[in-house]
Amino acid sequence: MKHILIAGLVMALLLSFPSCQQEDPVIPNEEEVITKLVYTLTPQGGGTAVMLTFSDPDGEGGNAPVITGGTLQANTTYDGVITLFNEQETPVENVHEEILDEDEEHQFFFPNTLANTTIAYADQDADGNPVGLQSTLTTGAAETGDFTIVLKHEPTKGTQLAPDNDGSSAGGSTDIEVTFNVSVQ
Amino acid sequence: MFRSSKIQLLLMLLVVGAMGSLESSLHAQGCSFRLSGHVFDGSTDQPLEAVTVQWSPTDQIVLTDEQGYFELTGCCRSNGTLALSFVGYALERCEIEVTKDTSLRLTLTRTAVEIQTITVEQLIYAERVAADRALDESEIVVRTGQPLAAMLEQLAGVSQIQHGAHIAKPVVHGLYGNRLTLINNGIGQSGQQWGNDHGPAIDPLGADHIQILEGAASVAYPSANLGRLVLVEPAAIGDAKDWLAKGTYTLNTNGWGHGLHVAAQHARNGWGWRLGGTFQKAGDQRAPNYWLRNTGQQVVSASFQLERQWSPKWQSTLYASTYNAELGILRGAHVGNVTDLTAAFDRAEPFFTEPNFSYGMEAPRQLVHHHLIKLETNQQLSDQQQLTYTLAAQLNDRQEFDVRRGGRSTRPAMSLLQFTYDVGVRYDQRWTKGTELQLGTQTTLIDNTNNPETGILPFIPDHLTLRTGLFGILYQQWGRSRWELGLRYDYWNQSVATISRDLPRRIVRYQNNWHAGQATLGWTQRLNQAWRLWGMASYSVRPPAINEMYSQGLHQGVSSIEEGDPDLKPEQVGQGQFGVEVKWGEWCTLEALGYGQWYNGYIYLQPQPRPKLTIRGAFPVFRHEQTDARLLGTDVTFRLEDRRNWIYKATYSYLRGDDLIQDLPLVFLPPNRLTQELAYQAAPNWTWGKLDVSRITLRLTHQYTWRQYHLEPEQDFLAPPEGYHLFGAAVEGEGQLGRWQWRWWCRADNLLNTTYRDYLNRQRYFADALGTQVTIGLHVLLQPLGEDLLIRS
Repeated sequence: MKHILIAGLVMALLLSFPSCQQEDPVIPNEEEVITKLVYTLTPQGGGTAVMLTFSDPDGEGGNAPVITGGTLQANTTYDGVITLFNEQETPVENVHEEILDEDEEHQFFFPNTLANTTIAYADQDADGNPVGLQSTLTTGAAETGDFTIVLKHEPTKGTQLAPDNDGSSAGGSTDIEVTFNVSVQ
Repeated sequence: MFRSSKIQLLLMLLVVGAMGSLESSLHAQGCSFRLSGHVFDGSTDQPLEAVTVQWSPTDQIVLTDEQGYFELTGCCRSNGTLALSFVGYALERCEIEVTKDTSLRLTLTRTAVEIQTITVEQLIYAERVAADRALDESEIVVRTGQPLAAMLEQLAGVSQIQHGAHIAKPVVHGLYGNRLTLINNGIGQSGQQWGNDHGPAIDPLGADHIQILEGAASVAYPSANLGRLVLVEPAAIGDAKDWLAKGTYTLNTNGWGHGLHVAAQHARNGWGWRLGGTFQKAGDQRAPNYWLRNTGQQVVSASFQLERQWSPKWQSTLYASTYNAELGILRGAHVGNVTDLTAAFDRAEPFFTEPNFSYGMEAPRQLVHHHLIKLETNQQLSDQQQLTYTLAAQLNDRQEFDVRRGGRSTRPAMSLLQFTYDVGVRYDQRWTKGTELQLGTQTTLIDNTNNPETGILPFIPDHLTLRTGLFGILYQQWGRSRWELGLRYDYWNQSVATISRDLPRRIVRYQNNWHAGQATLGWTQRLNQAWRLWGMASYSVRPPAINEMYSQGLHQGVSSIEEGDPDLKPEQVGQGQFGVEVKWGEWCTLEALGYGQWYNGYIYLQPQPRPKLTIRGAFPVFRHEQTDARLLGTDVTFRLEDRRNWIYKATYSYLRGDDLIQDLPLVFLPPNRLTQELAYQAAPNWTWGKLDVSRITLRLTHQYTWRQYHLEPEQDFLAPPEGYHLFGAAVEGEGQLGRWQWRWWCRADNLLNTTYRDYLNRQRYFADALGTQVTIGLHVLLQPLGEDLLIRS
């Protein structure tokens, strides 16, 4: 009987543990996310630049991103430049510089439904393979369609896939896949 | 002499073949088993009173009562000699291996004054209320190099969820992860059990006995269990006199995997210690047609056990173990979004496949450390009463590395540190004539934190969980039937700190209080020597797990976003099981069981209609939701042996799960499977000089796994793979070389190099399963020759 009493006391003691609270977690510094993509298209003969913009300040999850397409002039050649930002860092981090540093491991692709528009790479990595941070876009007759920007990390480079390929046969993992509505007038 | 050795063998077979499972509830440390029996006169069948029964390891002596009954308590897990003497007769001995509570029917026959025989006719007590599903040391040793789940898969009703060959978690009757608790050395294994790609951080080679525990006995263990547990138990050092050393080495040709396990133990003057260590290293494995890049592993683990018999009443055991693993994940299985995943489905061979073998490991990979320290003290209050005090601490450190940009692949994408502390007290009371009571309480504190070094918002949040439980189990023997009743109540107090997904980032807190519990009633009846029936019914309440409520983020392996639901309610489960075991003579055994699980609020991942748009494209969203569900299954095992050389065994497992509200199949349940084995054993007794070969075994195995037909096409990214046949062959030998006992084996798995994919292997989206694997192994045991230390075979 004595032992049962002791056991009962121990149980009562264990049951009376105070409730407790987890400490505040450290909010990680999200340095790898890309919150903004801007594809700036400047007409070669001069004129107003067109900007295709993807913006998702809170990153994956949270609120939905805002995607802004654009209108291009027919029969015009544009110099295209992709810029990427992480606005969660202070100061804002230019992610495209990181891509440029590792350009042998990255490649952009531009699959689209614009039948009269052509796109070409305008840059190369150290191995002579295209990267796509810089490109040349030439419009033809008026049309509208989807224009997608894809960034592959560690694809098999050097297979010389067309820039308007979706890049899936090159392997690697997709870091960016964003689709814009584009109209050519 | 001839006669007595034959009897010994028969006795061993019967005892080993009819191992009970009650023990598991009792004592992981294995020094509290009960060895009991009835002694009868062989010619008159009358009980014999006042027979002296002596058990060698402890030199305990008892006399049989007027019913011929005797009972020895506090027996350690060991081999020993049971000596029976009766007034005016010569001493009779028999060898018994105690690994469980054991009950014997012994018959003493006087055929002449000097020839007295002792036979075990049958086990009169039904010792367990369930099917017997366990692996002993000899079955564990030959699987050196394999994960725990792969070893358990040999048992009826057990499958494994894999993420490649080295990351595997067991599935018992469709239960896994949050619904299946692993008990390592009597302590609930802590860690990130929720992840399908998280294997348990346990070195099975440190165990002497691995078992699936069901029924009332399961309520003795903390954690949200649904009546089924996996117990991993080391042997007690106990009374093993002097010292013992053993070593195992295996080489697996697929992945050139090396496995080495060494252990030594010593006992003297009330002290006993054991030190053991395991090292495993493997490189890229091979599917029939290509190398699986980055699928190697490296595991280093060690354990130390110290036992002290302070006095006849007090005994303590200190146990410490460390497990450290680096596990590679197929490089081609790392994808960015659904487009990549779809591209991977169409490949003849995975992306990033290399033409050559390599031991190298890079991202994606996992780094897992698990450390455990436990102190247990037994206080023997009387022959029938015992108190056990337990203190334990665990540290689980899990880091997962993904392929990342900007040289961040060497920084973990997930880094979780979990401390777990256990305190427990248990009281055991036994009455003669088969009544037993256990009462106990445990408190567990879990502190889970994310390391912010990842630079990624955590997938599961930091939390502090305090869980206190009370349990009681009553066992009652009535004639040839046995009843067991288990009750458990747990109170959970959980403090969770999540980080918001919208800006500005802030800490969102949740406080949860849960009432959980389990009630189980079990019954078994031995109708006669041939038939045994059993039945179980239980009701359990399982609180939602941390990932089910709060997980948030991208699941890299399957390109989907997983979301928790903080409003989930506890899951309620009613279960039933009915089984029958029939022995026709001693050559044929059939065991069949059927079970059902009925869930109210079954928590599962429901695909959401709207995908989530991110910069990486649109991802399908899966959210934890609740429904009513039903699982129905059966396991049938058939065994045929000619008692000399041949053994045939077949096991069939069937399981079907349904969502009763949506009228859909449940996803990710094991497909049905048939396993067969034909073994030929010979005892050639070959001798070359000092080398004796005492046994040779040849085995042929076949396994057919059906396609998972019970699934709708829209429930998975890819249709379930076709059914497949796997064949295997093995040759095993045993013998003696001076003081060395040795065993060797050569085994080929997937002998025909069949190309197949398994539904429960997450790698199936990307690559074929392994081709032929040939494993050769050698196990040696060195010990002093003595009658109290016989090799377990």
